[in-house]
Amino acid sequence: MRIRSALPTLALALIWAACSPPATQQAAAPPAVDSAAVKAAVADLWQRWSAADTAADLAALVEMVGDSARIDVMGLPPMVGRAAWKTAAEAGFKTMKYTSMNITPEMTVPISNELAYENGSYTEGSVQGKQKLMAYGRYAGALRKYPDGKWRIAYIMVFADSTPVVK
Amino acid sequence: MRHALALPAAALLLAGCAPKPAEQQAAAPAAVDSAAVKTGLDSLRAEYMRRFAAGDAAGIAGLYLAAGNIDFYGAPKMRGRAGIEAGLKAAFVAQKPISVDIVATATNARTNSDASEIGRYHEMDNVKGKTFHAWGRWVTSAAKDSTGAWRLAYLMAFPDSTKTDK
Repeated sequence: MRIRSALPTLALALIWAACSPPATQQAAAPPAVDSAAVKAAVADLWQRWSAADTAADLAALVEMVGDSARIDVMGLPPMVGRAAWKTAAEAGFKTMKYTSMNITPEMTVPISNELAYENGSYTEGSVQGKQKLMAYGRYAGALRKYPDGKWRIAYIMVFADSTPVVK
Repeated sequence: MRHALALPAAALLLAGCAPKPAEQQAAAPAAVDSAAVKTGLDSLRAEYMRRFAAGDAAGIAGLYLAAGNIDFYGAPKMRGRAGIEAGLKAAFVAQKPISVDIVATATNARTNSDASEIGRYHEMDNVKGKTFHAWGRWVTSAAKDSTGAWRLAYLMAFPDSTKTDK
């Protein structure tokens, strides 16, 4: 009885298999890009990044960087991977207290539903010793949706144009 | 009679397996020829270095897409080909180009007509009669234009260190 019941399902599965292109061909046909969803996901990433930065939440900042991400920040050596980023961020939190962060995308290019290129500008307020500073800078990067569904930094280059003392 | 029934069934099955409409077929990209992409970008970079050494701001701007953008540390944002030409001309007045050696350290060929790269550079300029060096890092995205030529879409760069010869 169980075998008879299973037969139609098996037949359908075989027909489906016969109709299905090989895995490589399936992967080659990309779905339509939902640009609004990609931009919203990237905006959400930056919102969480800003919150983690000002909360000195090292774990959250590290989690928002891909396993093998590369980070090029002016004034720091190239960082490849989460561990390298964690070391740098941890060192930063020991000397600086970040008080504000605003990330303003200038151009976001949704390449696919899992990848976006973006460049923009940022401001980051901080306190170092008794000095209050405000960094004005620019960034360019690739943001990726990882297999767990979370968007993270896959690559980013950042430089501060100026970091004046705030009086 | 049995054969007649079998034929429509086979036809229906084939219809179900038939390729999708033309617009959907067009969405399937060709296999990426990474070597060809790298060759194209190497050629573009070599041309960039030649035009830089010649101080040819307009020529460098011509290597960008019409909507190309540059973000260089120490320089205002350069947006669009005209903005790039104006920005580079202004920069070349203050720092007369001598040469730039640009090395790509990683190339990501996303498709046969669009790619991104990162790398390092060593730039030399004449500043008030002295040779100024800058060593730094860069990231770029590039795409083929309507003629099939590789063009830069975006470039960001900053120096890690600088030196002025005595």
